[in-house]
Amino acid sequence: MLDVATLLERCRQGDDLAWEALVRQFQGRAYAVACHYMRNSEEARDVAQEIFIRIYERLDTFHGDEAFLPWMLRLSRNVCIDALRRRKARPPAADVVIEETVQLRSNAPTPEEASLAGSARELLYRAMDRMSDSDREILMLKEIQGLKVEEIAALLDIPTGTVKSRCNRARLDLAARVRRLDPSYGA
Amino acid sequence: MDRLDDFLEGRLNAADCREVEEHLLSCPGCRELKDLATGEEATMAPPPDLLGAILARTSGAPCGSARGRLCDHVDRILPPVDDDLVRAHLEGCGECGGLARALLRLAMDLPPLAEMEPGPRFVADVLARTSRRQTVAARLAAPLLAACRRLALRPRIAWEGAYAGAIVLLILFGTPNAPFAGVPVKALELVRTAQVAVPVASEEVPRIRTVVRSRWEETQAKVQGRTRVLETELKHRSLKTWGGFKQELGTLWERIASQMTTKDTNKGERP
Repeated sequence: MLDVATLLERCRQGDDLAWEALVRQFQGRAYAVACHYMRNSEEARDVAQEIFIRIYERLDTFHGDEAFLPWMLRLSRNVCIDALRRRKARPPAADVVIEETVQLRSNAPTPEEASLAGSARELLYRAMDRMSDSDREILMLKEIQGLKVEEIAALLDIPTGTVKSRCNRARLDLAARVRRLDPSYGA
Repeated sequence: MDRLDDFLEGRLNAADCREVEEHLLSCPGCRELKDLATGEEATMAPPPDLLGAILARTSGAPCGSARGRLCDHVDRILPPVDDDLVRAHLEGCGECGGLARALLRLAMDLPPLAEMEPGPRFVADVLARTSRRQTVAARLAAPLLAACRRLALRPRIAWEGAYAGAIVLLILFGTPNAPFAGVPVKALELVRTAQVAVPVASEEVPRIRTVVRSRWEETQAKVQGRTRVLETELKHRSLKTWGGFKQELGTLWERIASQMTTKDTNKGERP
């Protein structure tokens, strides 16, 4: 795997191949983040493309002295929030009866379910699906994407102590939910 | 009796031990005490709900406190004493123990979720949407082309093109220091040489000249005839129009004059 700093430098010089390599290297992460926020695989795919387009447009604003992943995740989060706002503002294409919506929501495969690799993943996604947005977000940033507490604090603009406590609470919540779905989990 | 603790914990020397043993043989009270401290009754298992009942009546259930430190325990960042306390609680509390095991498993299962496969066409789609903005040359080419197109669509582009072309020709051939200054003269000489070299062609020249002249005269006569007809027609039409205009003007003038007269008459009749 190529060094990210080198790739970025080449990208800034207009090297197409470096840009392609960068997209290949981080496409999975961008898509996973988009899935976590959008909860819909088709939308997530479009949003992941938007993420890369924004990265491309703002490559010049990235400074080499900071880590690329937190910068990329901050951009990704902003793109996802913009997309969610647009979705909220957009009226539904057709009138749908509420009961039918609920039924559709529960039966439709979530983006994660569409790309499940095993039952443990399925279990985790089912448990996370029922968590609050803020808990899921902080879990995604810290436990899944592996950001540091300080980076998350800067990203969400909250104190580090709050990040720690919220993260611990979210982990315990997830553990409890997973055990409710499968009491043998972790045994 | 005072030395029973030391005796039980083996801290007495041999002589003192022998003395305590002799005393225990003779004293039923001390013997009973010693049996209580070391016998089977001393290690009798408490009822399962005893600890819960005691804690409920004193400090309350410790699970909340344990869960507050459970993540740090799993991450191994707790101070040793707290870590031992949590471990001790987990050994006695099935619910918290299960949570701790689930947290350990989550620490292994969550990181692989950081990446998901977006599909085989994803990279191609992203590259297609970003490639047109990739190089500086590509960024400049589009506005440059648009500017050229705007320039070419202006009406005076032909004048400007001719002017620029004339300047270029002048620079290339017209000045004494021009790079191709001698080319026209050389070309003329070459043509003359060719005329001499090809007599057939030089014989044809007067005939072509005669044909061209006769055609030119024919065309000139036709054009003159058409022009004369057009001129007559135009003169006729203009005279006709002018006559009609004069007639209209006279009628109008008469009408205005009669109205003015009527107005003056009315003024004179008024008291």
